Amino acid sequence: MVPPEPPPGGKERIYEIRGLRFHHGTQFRLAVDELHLDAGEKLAIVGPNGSGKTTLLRILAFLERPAAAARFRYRGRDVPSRVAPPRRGLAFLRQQPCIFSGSTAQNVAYPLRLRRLPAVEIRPRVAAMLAVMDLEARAQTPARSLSGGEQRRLALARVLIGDPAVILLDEPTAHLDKRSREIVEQILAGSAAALLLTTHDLRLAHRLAQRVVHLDGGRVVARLPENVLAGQAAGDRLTTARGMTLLLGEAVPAGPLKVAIDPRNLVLSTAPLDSSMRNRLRGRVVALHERGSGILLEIDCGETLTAVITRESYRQMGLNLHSEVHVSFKAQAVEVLTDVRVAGSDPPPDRAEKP
Amino acid sequence: MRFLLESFHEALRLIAALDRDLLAALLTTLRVSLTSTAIGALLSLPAAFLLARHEFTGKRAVLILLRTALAFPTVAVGLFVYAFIARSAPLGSLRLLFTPGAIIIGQVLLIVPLMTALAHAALQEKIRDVFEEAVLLGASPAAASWKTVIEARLAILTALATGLGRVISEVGVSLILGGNIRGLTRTITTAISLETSAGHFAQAFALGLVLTTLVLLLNLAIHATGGRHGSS
Repeated sequence: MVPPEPPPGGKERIYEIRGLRFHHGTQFRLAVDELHLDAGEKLAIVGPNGSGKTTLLRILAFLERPAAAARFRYRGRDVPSRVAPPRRGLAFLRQQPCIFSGSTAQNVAYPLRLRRLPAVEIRPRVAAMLAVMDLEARAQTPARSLSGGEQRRLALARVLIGDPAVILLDEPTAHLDKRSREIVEQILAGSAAALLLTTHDLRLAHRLAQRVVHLDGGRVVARLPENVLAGQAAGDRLTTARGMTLLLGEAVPAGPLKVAIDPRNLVLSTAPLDSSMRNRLRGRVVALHERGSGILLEIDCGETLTAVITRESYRQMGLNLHSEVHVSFKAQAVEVLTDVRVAGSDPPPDRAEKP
Repeated sequence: MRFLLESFHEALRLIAALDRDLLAALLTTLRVSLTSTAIGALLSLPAAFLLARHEFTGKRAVLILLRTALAFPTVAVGLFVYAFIARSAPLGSLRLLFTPGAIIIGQVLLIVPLMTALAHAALQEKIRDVFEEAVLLGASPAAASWKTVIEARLAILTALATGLGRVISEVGVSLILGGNIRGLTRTITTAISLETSAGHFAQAFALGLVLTTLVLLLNLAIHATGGRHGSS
């Protein structure tokens, strides 16, 4: 029940995965070359729908067996391929958790009842957990009659009450109302457990997690396609560790800040542009990749930025490796990832949640 | 029409007077059909659970067979069992023929496929979700199975009640295997067929009324439980 103390000299390694493959019938689903999670660490897996996020979580929760894995260890032990491995201390909040019949309190008490704890011990723990989730008033309500957001909070409460050392969460805030999202995020941010969450919300990933991994088409993508930059903010400016300065769309409180710029929003030109775009940088092309119907360029402007342009533009501009280019983008195109709600304004609605 | 009304009147009088033969048939019916349903439930619920829980080759074939068995004519089941327990048959030495035990064997065979198919449908819907959630919350396979049954209890209850309804009202098995022996194996349905062929329409009517009331009460009971707890 209590997570074991990390061994001296390092944190306990919760998951250690190498060369993992998963197929559904003959259909390729997932390939993970390397993935690890340490005790107390928060890792986010970002990817579009159908990228294999849920499949990966189901494998990590031992609900699916990988077709092959060079190494698949959970808390220092190889995960056996046949018999069910011990899942002590492991919790998995599915995107659509099953709410049992009975009251809210009965649902939350279930994991403790499974451990045959006495009722006098269960009652106060359930009450405390419901208070944290702002569900006290709903304690005796039939759980299935709760609203969608309340049911998700209930499911999170039911997962947390067992004091897990590792929590896997599948899109924990997707389709949640603002109030529920805030509660869930606050609780996850304050949790001491190792968290591995999937999301398609880049902002959430960077607010909550220390590491962000991208999953696309069933493969872990090493480099983020978004230009994620960290630095110190002051007013409406962000200065990165390597001295590049960006203009932001709005003033933010001074301090460390993470931002993202969609590669499609970078405008490339061979000469400086006279335009309303306030961010104007100069750099050199350091790498070129074909990406679908476009060309992906990595440009060193102090920090390496990634831009995507069409093949047509690429031909017209006559760009090559080492070509000098001017990079322009609007201050509004710089998306602030770290939480700046203290500045007073609400964050814009999540892009991915729009229909 | 007058004849019908007179028979009906006489039937009500027999019921009101608690006619001994009528009571005996009612008791036999209840005893036999409740036993059959209980034994059938013990066999079909675990079977339904295993079917819902596990994937195996031939599962589709099993399900198709079960559904086919839903439509088995009761007389065919009766005949089938008769072939095994008749005096000169392999199990003839057990002297089961024309006993309540024989009826129960036939009725169990009749309703196990029915109850298995219905309970399987109910569990199939829940099993992935409930079983998986329970396991994720720390339940052992046994505890997770129990939770699944609890969550599917109304549908399972309906499956059991459907089985009970089928054995209460069947006549083929009871007639062939029970032999319609007064006071021993005479159930309401076999009594009706006997009284009708003997021309005792009032008795037949009275029995029919009792049987109809019984089935009606059973359905009201299911409906009441379902209505209180929702459709889940």
